[in-house]
Amino acid sequence: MVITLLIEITWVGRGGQGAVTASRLFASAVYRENYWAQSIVFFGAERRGAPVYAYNRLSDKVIKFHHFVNSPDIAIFFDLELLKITKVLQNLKDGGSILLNYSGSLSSIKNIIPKKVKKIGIVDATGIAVELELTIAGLHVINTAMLGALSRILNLPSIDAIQYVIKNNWPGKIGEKNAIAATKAYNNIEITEL
Amino acid sequence: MITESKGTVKVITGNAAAAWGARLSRPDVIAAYPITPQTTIVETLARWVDTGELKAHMIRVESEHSAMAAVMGASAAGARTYTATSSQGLLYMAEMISWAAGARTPIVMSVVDRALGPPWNIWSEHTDALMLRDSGWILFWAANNQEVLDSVIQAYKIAEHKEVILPAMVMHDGFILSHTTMPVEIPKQELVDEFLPPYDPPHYVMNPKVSPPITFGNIALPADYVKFRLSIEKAMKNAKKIIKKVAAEFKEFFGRWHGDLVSYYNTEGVDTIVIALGNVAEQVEATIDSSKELKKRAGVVKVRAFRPFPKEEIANIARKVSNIVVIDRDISFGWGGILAGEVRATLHEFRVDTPVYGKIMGIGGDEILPEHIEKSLNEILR
Repeated sequence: MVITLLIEITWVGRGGQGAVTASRLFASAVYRENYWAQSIVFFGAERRGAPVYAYNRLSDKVIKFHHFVNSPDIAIFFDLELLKITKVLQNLKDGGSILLNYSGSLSSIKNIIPKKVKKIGIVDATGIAVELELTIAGLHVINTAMLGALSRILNLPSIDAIQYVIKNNWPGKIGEKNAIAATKAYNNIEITEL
Repeated sequence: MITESKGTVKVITGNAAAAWGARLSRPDVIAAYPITPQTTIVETLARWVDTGELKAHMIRVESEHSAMAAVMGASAAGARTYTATSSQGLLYMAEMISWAAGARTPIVMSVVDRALGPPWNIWSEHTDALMLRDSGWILFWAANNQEVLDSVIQAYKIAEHKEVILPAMVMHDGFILSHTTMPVEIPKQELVDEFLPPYDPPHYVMNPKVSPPITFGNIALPADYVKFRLSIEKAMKNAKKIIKKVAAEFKEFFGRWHGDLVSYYNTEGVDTIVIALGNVAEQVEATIDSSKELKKRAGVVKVRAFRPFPKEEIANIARKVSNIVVIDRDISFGWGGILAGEVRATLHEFRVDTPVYGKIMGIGGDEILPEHIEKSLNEILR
């Protein structure tokens, strides 16, 4: 009856950026390390560039809840604007964490981070995508880099599991490249305890 | 956690689980027309047919009405058949759906529950399948992705049983299950083959061995028509017994139990029972599980089989408690919750006077949150 571990995650990306895929790969990766996981996605009228939400729950027990994550332990933003314009930050749990794709420094955005945030990870996922020439239809592919960064800030799952699910999802060269992006983000993320 | 000895675990959507359930059951003929949120089931099956991983005939049709007509014809000719649909697609099929039951074609169909329009809505509600309540089909609701896969396999074994020979629908909630991934054990093909041998039709159109030859779909004058209808009612009653038998056998084979006509959760020593279909019941179970207070007072009866309806099971448990709460993710306008109505009628039939409180939630994909469930229960329990 006592849930010993339950972590809830909200992904906020833009239509076409692969937040949904990242959430699904995350669920597969944590399952490889013996956690139960769900990846829940809100589908509506998706348009390129509009905010898109995806959710994960992971636990060491079977999860029987099926609703969306309303107040996450960790919120992931694919760009700074999404952090500002959505209500996700407002609903973050007290003591929760943020993972943000951003090329600037923490000090330049500290004034918009509420007190309840206890940990923030900043990673320049777009920079990694540019460097590796990871683009689809003109969009920078940042979802796999964000997966790598998540593995580091959450300490879960291992970067090996992330690499496995990425390569398994895109066999061949594309998978290799995305796995490199994940590793780079894992190594380059700056995590600050607030 | 899941043991991997009898299959491989993949983290997949409810629609992928339905497609796997169909694939492992080795259908001969599949015909379907795309509709959200069902589409990815038949897309997946079509891909497997294309790659040769699934040896089945995929018939592309121009509508759901034709999809049902195609699988009905194939089933009458002795084939194992599968189709899937949702919402308006299901209603467009309705004429053929009723015919499939009367023609005693044991088709298995996944229905991914979706609200009916207008207004346009693609999210979950059970009213679509419940509109086919009286069609003569066996109706199952699945609570999670594993149950989706397992119920499709079980549905074939039940539908094709010689004492039943009726078509079966297996429902799962649009998006909540259809597009949500979770770990699912995909059983080994050899085990499924052993559990579910090829369809051995007792009668079919093209079988030269059937003597004298039989005809289908002819006119029956009232006195004969009654006999045909009575035989469907008898088959439904038999299905109760067969559903229990197949669920027990499935547990022996695969080690999993989702319930038979119903499943029970925390029903010992409580004074209140919540009754709901499939996934709604599982959400209630999780809510009760997370509250010490509720756990002392309330249990859940998850209805897996809506037709045949588990009258005896519901009457028996209602006798032991002070309150019955029914949560419907559906509405019959001018009446109320459809499941609540069935429960009330059942209790009257069995002379059980436990009060039944009906709650309608989750219409058109509106979320059924733990706090909604708790609030509803606390109103009754205080």
